[in-house]
Order: sequence, then structure tokens, then C-alpha cells
Amino acid sequence: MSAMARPKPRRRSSRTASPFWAALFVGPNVILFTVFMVIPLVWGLALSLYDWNLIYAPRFVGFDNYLALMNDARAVNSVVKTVYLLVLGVVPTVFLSFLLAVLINTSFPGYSVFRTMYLLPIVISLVASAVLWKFMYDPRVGPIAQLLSFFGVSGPNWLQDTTWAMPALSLVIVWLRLPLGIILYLAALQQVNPQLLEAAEIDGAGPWAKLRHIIWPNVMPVTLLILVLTLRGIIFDSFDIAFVMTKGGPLNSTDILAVYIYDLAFAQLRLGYASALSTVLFVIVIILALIFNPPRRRPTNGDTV
Amino acid sequence: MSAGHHWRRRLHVSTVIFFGLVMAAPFYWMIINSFKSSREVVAYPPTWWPTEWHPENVWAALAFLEPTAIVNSVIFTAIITIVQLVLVVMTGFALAKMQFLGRGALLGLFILTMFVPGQVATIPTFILIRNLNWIDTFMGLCVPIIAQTSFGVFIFRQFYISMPNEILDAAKIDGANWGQVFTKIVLPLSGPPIAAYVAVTVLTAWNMYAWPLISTTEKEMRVLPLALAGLGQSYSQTPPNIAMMAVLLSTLPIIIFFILCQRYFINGLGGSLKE
Repeated sequence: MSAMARPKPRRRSSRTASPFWAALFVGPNVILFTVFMVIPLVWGLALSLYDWNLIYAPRFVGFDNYLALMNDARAVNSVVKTVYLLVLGVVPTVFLSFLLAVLINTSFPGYSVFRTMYLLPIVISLVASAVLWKFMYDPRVGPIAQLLSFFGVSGPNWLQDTTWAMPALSLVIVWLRLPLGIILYLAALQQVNPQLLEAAEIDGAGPWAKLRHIIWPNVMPVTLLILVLTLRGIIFDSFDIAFVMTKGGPLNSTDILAVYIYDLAFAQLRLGYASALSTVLFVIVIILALIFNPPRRRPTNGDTV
Repeated sequence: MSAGHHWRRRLHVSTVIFFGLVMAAPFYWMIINSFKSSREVVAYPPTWWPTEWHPENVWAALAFLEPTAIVNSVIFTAIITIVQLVLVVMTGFALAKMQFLGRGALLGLFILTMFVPGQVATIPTFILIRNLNWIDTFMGLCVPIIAQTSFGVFIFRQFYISMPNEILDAAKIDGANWGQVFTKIVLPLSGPPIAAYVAVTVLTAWNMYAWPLISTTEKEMRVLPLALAGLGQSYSQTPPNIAMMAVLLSTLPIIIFFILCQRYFINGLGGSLKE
């Protein structure tokens, strides 16, 4: 992402590779990458200008698919729902992983067991966690309803409620994505210059002031990285969770782009129209990537290099 | 140490333990429910500890998961990890250390595609696989996933950039060719990033759902996440205790793998920091 190729001094001619060796090292990958990645990407863009259902010959329709999208209430809804899920997923992931990383950036006897607990969600697949959480959300025998009734609260039927289904999905996604954020923040916290913290302490800064004015600004580049990785992760992963847990329901309240695209392409076989919607998703990703341009430099920790 | 400091330390440790338990709570729920009887698992109010343990649920869950799904998942994960590793190590090395025509353009291509969501290419890739008659084959299942090499190429290029040129040059002057330099000098020094990459790739491949869902139709070609997904459907006839046991069994290999190789996971995932 950040490290673009800086021109290297070409003084050592011994590392000039003959076409044979260069082709041997990069050739297989380049061929595979071109056929199964680059060509499909370009093809997908082209396909969005056609009307095709796999049975009849593709018919060129220009920008009709895109025009139709604007009048398709379900398409508009799916864009809104995708953005909603991103907000519900990204914000808690970033803040909670920061706070938890600060919390567990310590050591005590038996510490590693508890650190493993924080990182454990990383091992479970999206589908497995979807099945598990569906059971957790069960309004009758699920532990969440049980805990709430402990406090005299009668919770909704989370996944069947148009208001609560999306927050319920986002909780699963946050739970799954916290470990990566914690790992990245833990690495960043090791880089914070302890002298800065000592100096702040001498100046009378309390824990909150240190957190807010020393640690948080110093890990800002990692925060941006986590932001980008989480955005990317949620766009990539949300299909598995939403498709298994709610199938876009109830009443399209969790009908995110990935679910609608799947439905269009593989259930309704409207491949051109689905490709147009994929392109919309692509554009959203590019916009997000431009807004949250990943950091170009490592954190500057006061006077350390 | 002052009493106040001592007290704060205790509070800190308790908070760490508390949130650790919260994060792990879904796993606890999965484990206890996978050993309950079919009656107890749906009883109201739910029990927080099984009144009796039913280890024989393992057999019912294994019968549900089917040996073929387990075998398919192992093959799928192994092929993707091994082939992709070979490709990304060699390409990453070449982009870092070899000088050849088009190197800059190639690197730019890999970096550009790193953040493209897979869904954008899914539909054309499906059509391509269908035209190749690769639906319901391991080729169709694995090759498009193997081809997603941009991230790995980037990671290994970053690693090899920091490798000193002198060791390569010395070998080249002694008359070694690129193949010898790579196998005799470079690979023996590449253990840590390879371990990290393998850890992360195994995890990703083992858990993959969307592409197997699209590229296979026959039951014989199902991988574990596909078998599991059926348990999430409302029409699922499988009782929740067997469902939880199936989830537990399918996750167990990765949990063990994770606990054994935690260091490599953390290096591999934290590796995106090291630029």
C-alpha cells in the first residue's frame, strides 16, 4: 500500500536477471493473476454494460443497467444498508480494539491465557460464528436473552426485528474483527516512547490524559491502518454473516450489497445488472480508500528514529 | 509500593480477566451446549452447565459434517496454501531483488489490485470457470483463490527488500545462478515470514465460504463451511446441541493450530505494520 517502488541505484549489474530467470520467477504468477484476476476485473466492468442471463446471447444495453439501478428501490436500500453496517462495524472495532489493547498491554502470572482469549475469535470461521451467534441470539434459550431477563429487560427477537437485526449482525462482525485490531495496536503500543509517558507523568498527567494526549496521537497511523483494514474486511466478510444469519431479512433490513448482488447474479441470473451493482460497490471502496488514505510513514515517537 | 498502587493493579488485572472472559464467552456457550442432551439444549430456562454430558454427540456431528466435507476442506486448504506460497515467495523475491524489464509496472499492478474487493471479480470468474467446465472440480475451487496473490507478493517483497544485497552478490560472483541463489541462500533465511504467511493462509482457506458456495453444486464437492451453513437456516432439522458440536469440531483443528502457532499468527497479521 504505502511503499511504492523507490528507484534503486543500479550499480550492481550482477542482479540483472536474464529473461529466462525473470520469467521463471514471476511468469506463473503473472499468467495466473492475469487470467483469474485482471481479466475478470475488466470483464466485470464490461459485463455491466450488457444484459445477459447465461442462456441467450449477451445484449449490449449501454448504461441502461446503471439507470435502472437508480430506480431500483432494493438497490438503493442495499447501498444504504452497506454504509450503515460499515459505520456500525468500523467505529466500535477501532475504539474497542484500542481500549482493549491498552488494557492488556501488561503482564501478570497467567497473562498469556487471557491474552489468548482476546485473540480467539480470529480462529472461528464467519460461517461457524454465524451459526453460533444465531443460537446465542435465540430469544428463548439464548444466553443474551437470559442475561437481559436477569436485569428485568425483555429483549427483542434480535434477528427477526427490523431495527435490531443489523446491530446484531454488526456485533458479530466487531467480535470477529477485534483480535486483528488488538494485535496491531499491541505492536504499535510497544513503539510508543516510554520517555514521553514518563515526562507526562512528571508533569502530572493522569491515566486518561496520557491515553488521550500521548498514546492515541502516537498510534494514529495504526488507527488509520486498522480503519482501512476493517472497512475492507467488512466489505469482504459481511456476505457470509448476513447470508447465513438473516439472508438479507427481515424485510430487507440487512439486505447489504453483497447479498443483493449474489441474489441477482446466482439466483435471478441477471449477470449484467449484478455486475453494474458490483461496480457500484467497487466505486464505494475506491472512495473509502481515498478518504482513509493509509499512512505513508511509521509513527514518529518523539525523538526516536 | 503504596497501597493505592496495589489496589489499582488488582483492579487492572481483574478488568483484563473480565473482558477476556467476555470475548471467550461465545466459545464457552458453544462448548457446553455441544455436550448437552437434545432435550436440555432447548429447555427453558437455559442451563449454564450441562446436567449430564453427552460426548456421543461427537458421532452425530461427524455424521452430519460428512467425511467428504472434511477431506475436501483439507485438500482445498493444502493446495491453496502450498501453491500460493510458492508463487508469492518467488514473485516477491524477484520484485525485490532481480532487475528486469517491467518490474515497476508489475509491482504497481499488484499494489493496485490489493484493495479490490473479490466480489467485483466474482461474477466474471464464475463465468470463466463455467466455460472451462471447472464447476464442481478442485481446479475451479482452488485456482481463482490461488490467483489472489497481490497481498502475499507485497508482504514478501517487503521482506526481501530488507535482505542485504551483499550476500546475493557474493554468491553471484562465485558463479551461482538465480535458482541456486534462491534455494541455497534466500529460502533458508525466509523461515519466519513463510511460517507467518502459512498460518494466515491456512486460516483463511479453511474458513472460506462464498467462492465454494458459487463454484460447487454437488454435495460431494462441499467444504466444511458449506456444510455448516445449513445449520444456520431456519428449516434446519439438526438439534442445536449437534449443531454446536459440528461448529466446535470444524473449528477445533484451527483452535489447536492457533494455540500452537500463536506467535506466527501475530507476526503474520501484525506484519502489515512492518513497512
